[in-house]
Amino acid sequence: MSTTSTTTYTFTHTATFLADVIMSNMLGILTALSIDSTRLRSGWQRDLSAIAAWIGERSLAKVVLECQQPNGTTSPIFEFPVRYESTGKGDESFVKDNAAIARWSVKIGSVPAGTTFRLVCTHSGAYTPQPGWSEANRASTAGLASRSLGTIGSGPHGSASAIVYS
Amino acid sequence: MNRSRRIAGTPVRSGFDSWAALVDVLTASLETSPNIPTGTVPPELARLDGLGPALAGGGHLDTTAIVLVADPLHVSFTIVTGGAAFDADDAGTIVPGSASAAADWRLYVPKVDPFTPALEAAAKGSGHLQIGNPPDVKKNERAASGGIDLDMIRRLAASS
Repeated sequence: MSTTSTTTYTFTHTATFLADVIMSNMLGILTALSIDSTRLRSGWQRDLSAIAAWIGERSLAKVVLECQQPNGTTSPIFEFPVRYESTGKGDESFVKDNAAIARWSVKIGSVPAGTTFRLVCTHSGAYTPQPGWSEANRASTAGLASRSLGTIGSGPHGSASAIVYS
Repeated sequence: MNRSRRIAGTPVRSGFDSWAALVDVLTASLETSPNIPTGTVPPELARLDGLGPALAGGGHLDTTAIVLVADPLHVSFTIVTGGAAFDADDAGTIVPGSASAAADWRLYVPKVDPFTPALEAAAKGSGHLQIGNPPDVKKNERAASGGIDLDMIRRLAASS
């Protein structure tokens, strides 16, 4: 006689996982660039919950981390696009890859002292308002070179990748 | 007294919540000891607000443990993520043996790139947070056993 157990992964699990991976990578980037991350750290639970909720309702298109330099330049800009599976891949588990951004952070060095950051989320379709978030326009990436940093996390119902513009 | 716990992380619960569970068990355990005044542990752990959840949520504590050393306790905590999180334990309650934890407890947080500078800044000035590897467990065993060389006993046992 043998026994087995199975775990059913829900879309909420995927949303939680991808939100965690995106938030963790954003803090890693700010730390690597020596940008004061106090604001991200203090609002961690609020922003994590908002991103997870928007992934959970499949409305989140991208999370954008904009680095705003003292001279008015916005660079680099990081995009974290989220891709959704139309049907969950029940046999797929959760995978994360922190290596790409870690490798990139070694190369980039730092940005000018006094550089701050801003988070912007873009949506595809209707979305539910979340506490602490308001309407905003994202900065343009025109004139900046883009580079894909690859997939940073994936689950049975979707994945998140990273692109840097600098 | 070496122990270890595997705490369920994301996606069972968020990195924020799994870190909070770790903070809860550390606080409850340490403050059981008469050597550690009530209310003194949370301010120390609050230095890692935002950083702890990032380490947990990013899977950086899957295999590299955060280690509490509070003689005679030596407890390793991992926060496992992904599919493995579904097989992990809850943070649990008070760590057995905590009642005799020493006042000069230390929490060793691993160096994790690119977070290390932020971790070191957060721990600066703390008497309890250390960024890096914990002391050698074997040295602790030797001290706890009153100077008996446990390595030698193991070697003798292996050769007999």
